[in-house]
Amino acid sequence: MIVLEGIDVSKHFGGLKAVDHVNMQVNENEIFGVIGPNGAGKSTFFNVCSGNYPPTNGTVLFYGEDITKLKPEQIAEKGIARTFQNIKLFNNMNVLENVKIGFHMHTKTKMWDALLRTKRYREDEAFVEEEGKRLLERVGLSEYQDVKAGNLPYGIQRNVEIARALAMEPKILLLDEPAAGMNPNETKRLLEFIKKLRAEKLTVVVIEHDMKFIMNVCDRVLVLNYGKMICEGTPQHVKNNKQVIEAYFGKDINLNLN
Amino acid sequence: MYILEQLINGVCQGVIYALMAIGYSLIAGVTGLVTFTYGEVVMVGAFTSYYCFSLLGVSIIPAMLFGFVAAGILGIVIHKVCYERFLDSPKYISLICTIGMSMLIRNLAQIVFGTETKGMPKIFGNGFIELGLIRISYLQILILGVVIVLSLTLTFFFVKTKSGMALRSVSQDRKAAAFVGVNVRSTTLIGNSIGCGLGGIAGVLLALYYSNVSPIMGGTIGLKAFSSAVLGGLDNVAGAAGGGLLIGVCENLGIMFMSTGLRDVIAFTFLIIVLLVKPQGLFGRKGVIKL
Amino acid sequence: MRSKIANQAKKLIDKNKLYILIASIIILGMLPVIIREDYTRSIMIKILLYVMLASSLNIINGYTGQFNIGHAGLYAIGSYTAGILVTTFGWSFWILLPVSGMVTAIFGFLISIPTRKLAGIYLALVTLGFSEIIRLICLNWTELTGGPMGIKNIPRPIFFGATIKEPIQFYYIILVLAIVTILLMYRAIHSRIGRAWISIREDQTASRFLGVNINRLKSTNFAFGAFFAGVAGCFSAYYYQFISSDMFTLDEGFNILAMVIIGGQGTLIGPIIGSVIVNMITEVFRFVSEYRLITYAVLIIIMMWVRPQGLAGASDSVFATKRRKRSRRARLHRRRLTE
Repeated sequence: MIVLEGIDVSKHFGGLKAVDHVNMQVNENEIFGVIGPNGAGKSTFFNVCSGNYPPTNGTVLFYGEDITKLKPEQIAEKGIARTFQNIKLFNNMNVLENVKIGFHMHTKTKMWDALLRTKRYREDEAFVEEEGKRLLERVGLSEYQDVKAGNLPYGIQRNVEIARALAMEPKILLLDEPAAGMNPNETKRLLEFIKKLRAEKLTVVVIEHDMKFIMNVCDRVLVLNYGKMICEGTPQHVKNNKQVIEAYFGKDINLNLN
Repeated sequence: MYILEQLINGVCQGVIYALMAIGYSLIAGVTGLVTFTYGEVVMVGAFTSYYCFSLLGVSIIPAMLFGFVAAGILGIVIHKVCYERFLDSPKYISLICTIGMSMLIRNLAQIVFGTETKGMPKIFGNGFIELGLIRISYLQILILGVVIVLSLTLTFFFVKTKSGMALRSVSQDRKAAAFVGVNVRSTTLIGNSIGCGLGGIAGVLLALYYSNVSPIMGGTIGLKAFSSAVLGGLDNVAGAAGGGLLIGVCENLGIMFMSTGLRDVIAFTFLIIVLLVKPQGLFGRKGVIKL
Repeated sequence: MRSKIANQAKKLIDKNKLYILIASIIILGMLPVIIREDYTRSIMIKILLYVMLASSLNIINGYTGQFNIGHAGLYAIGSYTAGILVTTFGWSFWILLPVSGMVTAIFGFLISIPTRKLAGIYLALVTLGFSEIIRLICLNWTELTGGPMGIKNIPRPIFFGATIKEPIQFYYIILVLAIVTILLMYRAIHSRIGRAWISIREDQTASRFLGVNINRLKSTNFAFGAFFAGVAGCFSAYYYQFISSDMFTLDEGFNILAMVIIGGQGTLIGPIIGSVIVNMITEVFRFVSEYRLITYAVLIIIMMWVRPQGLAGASDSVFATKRRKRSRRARLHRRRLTE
């Protein structure tokens, strides 16, 4: 079943064709990678698919439904969660509170409920507290529960952002360069975690430009360069594709990527 | 005819607003920041001319020069206190700093100059010329003349001189300007000073036009300068001038229909409508002054 | 860079928060009994009134990060609503308190709708513009607002037959109002709504992608803050027994803003500290008002240089970042991205 589909997506900024006729099909419960060198248009493509801005041309479908023109709030309601290239945490709130906001769509407390401390308020608060803690445990972040997000080390911040996205109980998770700025150990832990997510029946799309990361975790990969698709397929297939090698390393290089 | 006279008044007032708006947008363009201190700068220019005329007995051109310099120096102080540190910080910090600064200047002025409104000595007399049905006073001609000359000088400066182009480049993109070797720091300082200096001259013209100066005149004036600049597009110097003219004319035509007390509402209403409908102003480009 | 002592002090306060709170309320309740001088009592009333006003501004600026500097306008609406209704229809003080609040809240809501897409400076100036327009209308619409004369002879409140006219009585009224205000704000903040507000302040984009309806929440927040400004306005009308448009100039708005800036944005205690400090300064400089304003001005500038979030403001929030703080790794990563 196709979860997320981009059909002939283009995004032009004036004369610059950041994304040029890109197609993508993400299947249910797979880990799909989007890679390419810096400036290839991956983030732009991502932003279009996640509703951050509209494409110049093309359509984006989610479980067959056209989501091209939806606003971010609506995208979230559909069950699409994402993280950002430059981490967007709520720095002044602690980790648990960040995660609690992830539950925003699943709780119903309104202003009156909050002011009068009605039953709904109390139920919602108990829910976010319990579920928040449980989520942090699942992700292995319990020890950071009360730390202000802005004070965390970079790698942990990334994980918190992912945890917050998971609180939405999304159907698909879009990760924008999740391994950026991480050391090899942290990257390895992230890899394992993403695999665990797949085991829990989540669909994940990952942008990265680190080849190794992609090769080790993705089921299928889309390669972009200068805004255009140059290859799509399994990691094996992509790794040996001449154009891909050229894009990353230039012509006339024979490489063994393991 | 009344309406024609109001039109002329409007144009006259409008060009003074335009001059202020040009100064304002120059500052906004080169620093990337919005300021609350502009009204106070204009006020200082006005008072400089007051003291020039009443104490030193100089004539108009030297007074304007003094006004320019005094305002420019004030501009440097404002720059050091409110802008320099905060060029890369969230915008609201410098804005609040300028709120504080404008309070400071205004109240210092009240202490130093005294709180009363002072009448300007009569420099110009009441002479006027008649063109058919309308009269234009000599003063109005002077004002129009000064602003036209200044505008032409500025245009020349921006287009033909090296420093002028440096200013424009910094307004467009600080990093790019730095890359091509422009000294961004000093250019920003100079741009700010010139912008304030223009405000100083506007202050002199206002003092002559209204025949009085008051240490609290800066508040409303500042908002009108800002409204004019925003109306034309904050970073668009020519547009700002157009904005000033528009507001000046509308104010003077508007008081034919409503009480003079509500006259200031016109500028504010314009401001709000523009900000709500087309924040980049009539002639500005979208998203240039980043928030 | 917090010193060890400051950290330990903070821990001590956090642990015993409830006791400190109760003790403070008791002390506040007993203050007018201890301090018998009417003039000092009137200062305490002023401080509490401004606690309400500063808090109502702070709940907007400090929690959704909407840059509102036209608070005088909302205060004016509250006062004039009470003044007009009592002199025309003779409504009771106690009814007018919530009514003024609601009317102001509605205005706040309406003002916020067209401004949703604005941010930062532009929003600030629109709120400024609205504040001035409100003042100018109050100044000029003589039939409704008494024009430059204002509204005079507002009666005293009546409480179960007794007329309230002593400062000590007004003190207790405003004390209760202030406590209720802070309590309600506390409740709003520590709920789904409050968290959503803070998320809007911290990062609007991320917030939207989490399903937060920022437009609706921004307007609700604005209306919420406006409500309390309106209630404060009603109190003020009855306390001073007189309303005029020059009580609501831009300078008054900056006065309230100064309390939030100096005391701190984004925390409940910030505006309280701000109100105390600013009103004490007012008292010290009672006879030389220009110096008072100069002191505020210098304080504001110093605050921006040294601690933009205010004395008791939210430390790691968007207010505190003077230069975008990033860890070294993040900065390296950032540089890589832009190459």
